[in-house]
Amino acid sequence: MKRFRPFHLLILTSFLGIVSWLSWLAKHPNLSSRFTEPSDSSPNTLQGQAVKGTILKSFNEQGESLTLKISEVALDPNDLEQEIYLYTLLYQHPDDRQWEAFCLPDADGMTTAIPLSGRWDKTGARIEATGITFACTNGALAQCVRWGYKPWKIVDGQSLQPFHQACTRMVRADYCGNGMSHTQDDTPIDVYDRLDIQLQMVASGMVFEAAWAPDGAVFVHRLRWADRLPSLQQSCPKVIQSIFNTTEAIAPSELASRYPNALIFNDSFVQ
Amino acid sequence: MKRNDQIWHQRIATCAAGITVSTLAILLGTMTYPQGDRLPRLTTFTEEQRNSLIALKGIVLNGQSFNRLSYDNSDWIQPNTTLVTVKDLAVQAIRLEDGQLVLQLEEKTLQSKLSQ
Repeated sequence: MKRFRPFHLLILTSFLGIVSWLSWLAKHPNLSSRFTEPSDSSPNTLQGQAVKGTILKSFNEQGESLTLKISEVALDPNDLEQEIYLYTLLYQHPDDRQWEAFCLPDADGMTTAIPLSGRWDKTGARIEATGITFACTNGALAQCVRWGYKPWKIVDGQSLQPFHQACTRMVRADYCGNGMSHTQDDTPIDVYDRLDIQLQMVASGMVFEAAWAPDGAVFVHRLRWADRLPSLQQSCPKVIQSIFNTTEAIAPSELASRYPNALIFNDSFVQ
Repeated sequence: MKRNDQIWHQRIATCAAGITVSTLAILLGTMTYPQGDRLPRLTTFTEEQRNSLIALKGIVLNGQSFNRLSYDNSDWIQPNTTLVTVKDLAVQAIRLEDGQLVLQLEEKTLQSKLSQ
């Protein structure tokens, strides 16, 4: 047999290597390509970091005009799926025309916002699907997105929009679904849901608090802060009737079957 | 005839070697990324980021507020789409695509800017 030529092998393996590398790249687009290549191939659209510098003439709920500028766009480093875009917004102070941070710092010190489709009223209800709301990351709307309840997504055939809405009620302990919060800042909670987007923490030391739907609590096992009982009795006697006020442990699977209308559940410490 | 056999043997040997090497490469790739496209991103996370992820999940600082101007409920900002500009370019429409802002520029304005 003629002597084996390694040169041929080298050419062949190099070719196969390039082909496999290209196929891997096609399957694993990196972050920079996600940022710079708009899914809309139209040449007159901008997205990703290209929207930096955008000036938005906006208005707030009081109807006051507000000039906003998008100064930075970044993917949320805490989002494993790399789907959440954080926008740093500045607003122009009407007196001295200086640009100032629109959002207050969140728990990580970030002053960013997540754009959400729709508008919410003072009762916390999502009143219309049109329009865009910039939700600062120090608030419930954005916090729920960062927990994985991305309202634009569909998981297991279910839209996450109602999960997101239920989460905003849960974060604010808005048992009645009327916009009134019954908690206070820096209160630890654990959140889990029937789609297992979030799982119950093991041995957190917390106790089941309530089961939540988009309109508020479906069932209240006990209050996050027991001293909020009087204010609840006034604003929402229906919910009060359902409070057991016990520290009985209930498994998430049992909760899901016991409260079929509930989307999200939470635990909290007994204060 | 014998020379033809030698050539074919050589070609078969080359192909076999190439297939072996590429199979090994694919196997190596599969072992490195066994869970599809999520693991490569996971591996880029630092310890600090992992900790902050855990913090985000459970012991989170939850608040009373929807967001920034919580006490007067005035931070539900909606852009007036007819007044949006990007670097002196007029924007025809603004929409959200999977949580990302997409600006549709006015075609005439864009073309005139591009031709300058």
